[in-house]
Amino acid sequence: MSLTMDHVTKVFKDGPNEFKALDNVSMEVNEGEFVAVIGPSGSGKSTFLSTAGALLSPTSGTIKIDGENIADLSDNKKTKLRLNKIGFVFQTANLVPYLNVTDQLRVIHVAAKNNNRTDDETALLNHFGLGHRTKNFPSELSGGERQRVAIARALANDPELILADEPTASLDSKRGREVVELLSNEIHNRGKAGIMVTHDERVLDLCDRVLMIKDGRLTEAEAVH
Amino acid sequence: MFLAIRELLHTKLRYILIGFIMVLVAMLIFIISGLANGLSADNASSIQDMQADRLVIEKDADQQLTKSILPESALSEVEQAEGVTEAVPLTVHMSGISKEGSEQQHDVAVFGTDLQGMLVPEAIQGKQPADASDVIADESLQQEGMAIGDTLTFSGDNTAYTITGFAENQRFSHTPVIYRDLHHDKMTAVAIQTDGDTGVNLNESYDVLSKDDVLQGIPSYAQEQASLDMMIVFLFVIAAFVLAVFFYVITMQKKSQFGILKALGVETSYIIRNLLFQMVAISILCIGIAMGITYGIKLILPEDMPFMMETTNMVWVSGLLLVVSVLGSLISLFQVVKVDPIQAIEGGE
Repeated sequence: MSLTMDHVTKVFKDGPNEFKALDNVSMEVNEGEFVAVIGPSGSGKSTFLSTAGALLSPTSGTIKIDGENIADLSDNKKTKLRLNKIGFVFQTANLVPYLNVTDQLRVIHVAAKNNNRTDDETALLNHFGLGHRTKNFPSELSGGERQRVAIARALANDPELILADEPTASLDSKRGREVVELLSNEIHNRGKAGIMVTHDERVLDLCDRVLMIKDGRLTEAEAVH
Repeated sequence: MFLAIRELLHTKLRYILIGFIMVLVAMLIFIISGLANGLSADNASSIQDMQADRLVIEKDADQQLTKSILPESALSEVEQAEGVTEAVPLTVHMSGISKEGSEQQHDVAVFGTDLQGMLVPEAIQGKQPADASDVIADESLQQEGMAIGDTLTFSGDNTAYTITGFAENQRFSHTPVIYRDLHHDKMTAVAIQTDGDTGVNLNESYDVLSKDDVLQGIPSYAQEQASLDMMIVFLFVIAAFVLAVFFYVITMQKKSQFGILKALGVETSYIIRNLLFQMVAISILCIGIAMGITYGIKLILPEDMPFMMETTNMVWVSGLLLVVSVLGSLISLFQVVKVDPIQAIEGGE
């Protein structure tokens, strides 16, 4: 099991009030499984993704990535875990503006003190059809290319878990679908566990399971088709 | 420093602009401190380079060399004091000289002393003065048209003297110094060498001044240096604030990037090391450029301009500037620590 969440609750304090962003959430994602999480805005999608991605510690409950409980790790350990076990794909690609395409991947290797992976970087970029764009900066790429670089970056350190935060948000429906297709293929072929938070219902058919989050509660969604 | 170098190369313009400001500020600091050094030397190099540990002057002279008058008996009294290994009389007064056959007067400081004594400076051109009608003068008098072998007279006195040599760094109160025989002048001070640090027990009847005390007692010396020092201090403060504001603004702009990097698993300490590296690299480069330009300026300045660049002083100023710029960046680094990687998920705001 790549990701297991067991009775995870996250409470935010808003002045005197308490607000349950995640309410007793339990779920698991297997290797090679691509799960979509949908829900209206304010439903707790971001909190869900942040908690699963070791950016936020839950108030109670356990989260295991690759068998390791991440709920109570120190900030430094969480940073290391994100670097080695998790790959993020953000809404607007969020590439570093002053790094060219190759360096977007290399920064991950540099941070992991994992040098001399030039061949892997080249192979990954070629695989994503970006072989001719390696020296370009993000501002010179199209939206779809940027998102492809972001996916390549998420895979750079060969993580267990891929988390995607609305990866189609900045793309038109055709490009958006291509990006999710790519994500889905990579997750299936490389045997990663994948979670995508989205409200783009047109791409849900590319996912193995669809979960619905509402008021912090996670439920299996009805068949969407 | 993977991130630092790539960012500097990619966003050249912004760093060139701040570099430009920094070069200008550093240059101004170098030039003003060169001027401060130059003026200090122009005002007092004869005292600074004097072959004496201390000067004994009159008790009631407000510690000012030019106000002091000592009786003739003072020399033998000082000579016999405990701890004094050598004592030489010194008279100081401002006067004018003119070359024989010329009406033109030049201001000089006349230092009368024992021509065989320790105070007479080494001639870098010509010879040491040998008899009572010989004088040795500061080399800057050459710019006034004086040469070795010239005969001159002091104002109010028809005795003829001959310049036998020129020495360097002999300026007092912005005028060149001429050393001549003691003559009949009233003694101003007794210059002494002491053995080690044992205090000289003369304080009952005289003031014993260190050379620094003497400098502070030269008219206008302290005021001149203080106003230049104040400018230098202000420039340091300005440099610190300009750089602090610049790096603060840049860092604020990059907050979302730092959030993403942190979310991807890049350690905060790694980001901070990169920022510090940028800061130090820019500072060193700018200080170096400023130093080069200041040397260039020095070469084209007229010879009699009181401007002096000393290596120790330059190293100090550069080091301080570097420290100030790094201090200025500390607030920005604090901003980096505060960035929460969760911002990357929440729309990168």
